[in-house]
Amino acid sequence: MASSIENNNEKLTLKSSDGEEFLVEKHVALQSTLLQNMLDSDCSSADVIPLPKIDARTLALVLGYCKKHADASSSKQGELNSFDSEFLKDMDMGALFNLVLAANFMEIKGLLDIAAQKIADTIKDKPHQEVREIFHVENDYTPEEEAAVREENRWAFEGFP
Amino acid sequence: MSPSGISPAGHSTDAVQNTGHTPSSALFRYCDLTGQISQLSDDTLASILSRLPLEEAIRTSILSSRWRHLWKRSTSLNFDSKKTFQRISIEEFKVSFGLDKRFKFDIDGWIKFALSRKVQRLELNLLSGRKPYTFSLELFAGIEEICLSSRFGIMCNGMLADVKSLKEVSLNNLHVGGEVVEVLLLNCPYLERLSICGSSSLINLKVGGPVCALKYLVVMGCPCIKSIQISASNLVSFNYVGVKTNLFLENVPSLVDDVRIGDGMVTSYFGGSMNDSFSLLSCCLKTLTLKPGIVGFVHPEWLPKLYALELLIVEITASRDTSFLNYATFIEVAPHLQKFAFQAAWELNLSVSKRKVRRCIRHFHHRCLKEVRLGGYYGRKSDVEVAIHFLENAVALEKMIINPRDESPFLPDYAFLRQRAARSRAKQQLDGIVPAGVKLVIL
Repeated sequence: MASSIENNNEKLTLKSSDGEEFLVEKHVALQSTLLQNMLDSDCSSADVIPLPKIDARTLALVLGYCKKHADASSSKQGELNSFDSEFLKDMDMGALFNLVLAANFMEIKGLLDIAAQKIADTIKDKPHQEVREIFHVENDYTPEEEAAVREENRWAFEGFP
Repeated sequence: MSPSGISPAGHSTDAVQNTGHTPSSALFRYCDLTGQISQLSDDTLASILSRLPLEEAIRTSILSSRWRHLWKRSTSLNFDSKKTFQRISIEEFKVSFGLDKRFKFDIDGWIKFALSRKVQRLELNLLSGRKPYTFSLELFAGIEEICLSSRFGIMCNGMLADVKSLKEVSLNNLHVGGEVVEVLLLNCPYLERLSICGSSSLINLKVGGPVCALKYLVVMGCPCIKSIQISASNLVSFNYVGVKTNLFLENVPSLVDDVRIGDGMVTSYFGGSMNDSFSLLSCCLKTLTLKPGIVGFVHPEWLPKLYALELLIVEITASRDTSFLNYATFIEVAPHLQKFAFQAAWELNLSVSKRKVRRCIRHFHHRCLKEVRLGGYYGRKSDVEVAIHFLENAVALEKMIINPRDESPFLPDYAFLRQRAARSRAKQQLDGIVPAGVKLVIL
């Protein structure tokens, strides 16, 4: 039987959607509930774990986040907070969406929280035309439908033409 | 700490052995092309919207048809009321959440906010449980010139604008005491509808007062209630379901067509104490609905003669094949009754037993009853004996309507088969015994 010390040194291999492999320490991988469940259910850590929905660039970011948070148990919360805000700074929308998808898929709550908050902050206080542009959302309403949607919750649109 | 690490920005450090074949620059382009919000699932988008103030989340409904209803799936309610509703008044404010007293601070805040926005319809559906929220007089603190009680002679000069706007109040599954209701009624000259359900701190309820505009009153499932005292000249509808209570009615000239009394508690029964109050209604009440409980022990004796009653409706739950002839004898209290309607809700395990059809020992010839409607007729012995009772005792009967179906909105899949069987049983059981002059209609 493997001892707990051996377990701590164990490494896992994760494979991104575009075929890159990442060797990750187990305690870092445990930040992901998905991986945790897989390990708990006796998935052999010798196997390569495929993550078909996550590309290499995103996976590297995700693992960076996990590493910091896994190692930070003794460090101060303030340090983690500033890491979190630095982490997403200047990130383009595409990368952010991929990060949300990955965090959602791998069940990393903290990462999902900060990434979703960042997207929410982008929407905040912007007219919908601009939000459509930023997110590449195609407006499929007819003018009549759009007016109806607006009428449904008129109060929320006050001051937003 | 392990000597290896992963840098947040990349995958070129020693902990991550990059064995891939795709050059990173190509990857970046790939990401940019796919990085669209449409990739995200509805759940993920809803979780993003949960992080926005309510009005911002609602505004995303204009983006495209996919977004139209997404905000409704928000998992949190960030309600920045000061910003949101600065200029407008609210017609309806409804909170339906399983919240108890732990959320008192928030719930109080919402209600105060709604009151300050001149809300007209206020509805709270909270969590009963062990520690319900208390709707208290604190809510009115800060509102100037609230009139706390007429008994203490603190009459209000100008009625406050805030509470004054209330027209409908519905308080469900929370604590609200009789005194609070009194204050509410005293200060809300336009309050027309009041409904209190599931308050275990309601003991004595007094409805009335100099400015009582109340038209509709509902009191249900308040287990500790001891008395209800009503003096409301505008009241047209009163619906009570619950334990035995002392009911005092006076000055209710409009309470003619819509009185419903139900015994919602299985273990309780109607008591003689209602007798006195009904005598006040006996000269004018035209329609009465009774909802006896499952083991309610009901006798016509407990009701006074209701001389003006034209329509009596009895709603019960039909279980097994227990006789409910008792309810049919209620016609005796209403000598001028024109119509009797019986509505039985079907239980899941309905069966027709082999027992004999019983007769009512007492015969009572009713001389006015013209129409009897038996809803939820299933063809059990208990159904047949009620039909026979009316056919034999209502000498002026012109029409008997049999509705062999359950009118409950939650019908099981096999309801149609049941109805068909019930209909054919009704035909077989009643066709031969209906006397000439009575029209039998099987729906």
